[in-house]
Amino acid sequence: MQDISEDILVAAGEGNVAAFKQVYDVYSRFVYNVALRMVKRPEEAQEITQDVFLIIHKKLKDFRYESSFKTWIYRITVNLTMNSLKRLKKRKNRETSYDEQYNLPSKENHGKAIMDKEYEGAVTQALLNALNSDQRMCVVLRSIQGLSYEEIAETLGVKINTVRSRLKRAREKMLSVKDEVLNNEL
Amino acid sequence: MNCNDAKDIVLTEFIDQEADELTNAELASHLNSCAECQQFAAEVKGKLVQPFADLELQDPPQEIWNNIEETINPEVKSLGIWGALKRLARLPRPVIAFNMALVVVLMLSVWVNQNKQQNIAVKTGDNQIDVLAYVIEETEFDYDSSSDFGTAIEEYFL
Repeated sequence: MQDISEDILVAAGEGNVAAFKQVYDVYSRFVYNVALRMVKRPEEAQEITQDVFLIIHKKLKDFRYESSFKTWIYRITVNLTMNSLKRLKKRKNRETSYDEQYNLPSKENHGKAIMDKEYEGAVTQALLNALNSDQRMCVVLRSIQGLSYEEIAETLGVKINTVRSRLKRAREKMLSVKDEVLNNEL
Repeated sequence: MNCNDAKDIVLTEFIDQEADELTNAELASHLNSCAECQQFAAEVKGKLVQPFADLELQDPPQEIWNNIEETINPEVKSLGIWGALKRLARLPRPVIAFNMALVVVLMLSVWVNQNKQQNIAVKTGDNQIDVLAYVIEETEFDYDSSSDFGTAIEEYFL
């Protein structure tokens, strides 16, 4: 993700819509994809992305540039996404079947498609669904968005060892689930 | 380095490329001598690294920016009808085409419905006349010309 110059941030903070659009263009992909991988619903991810940028627009003029602007956006994204997840969990039916829980691709549609990209994407999302929200966020930020351990720790407000530990447990869980899934499928 | 430590590092710093040189060297040395850990590392790379690396990021829909702009841009907010028309023009063409088709279908169905109603009214009128004529024809009565009533029907009913 490219860095954005302070001039543009200042202009955006002063209400310049074109400057703010540049900020949006640089960071919207990150925000949308984090939200999408966490909440799994495109319409919810759209709402989160919208809210993130409206908050940024509101608070940009007060941003002091003492910390990284990138980290600030990451933090807002994570907070709003986690809040949304909590709301969705409250509404969700607890009695879900194995397939619903992991949202696995059906064999009928993907029987031929072991190597198919869509199928792989669906399997990857199913692996993410097996994790709790803290673990999933760490995997999304690290394995999909490419943030370093330090950036993740700063974004989540935890220690680097906590990030490491969550990633380890997440990957152990995904390995065990993937074996189970593949055995069932085959 | 023992197998537990090796697996621990494989699941974290190794696949995330966060390990320092010393750790990398120790791990490499262990993997060279331990087939089980070597297999584990290969499994982790194949099942957990590559799938995520291959995942495609999606572009956020244009609608998101449109909604944001509408909220933050005072010019967009105050455009009124012209603003609304401009916004409509920003909609994807398939959406506009679909909406127009829907309007045409609705208008057609209203027109067809109206025609149907008229036809039914005419038919009902015809039916009523037929029924009345039947009743009149089937009814027998004596027509007394000396009566005060004029027509046969008046004689019958009155």
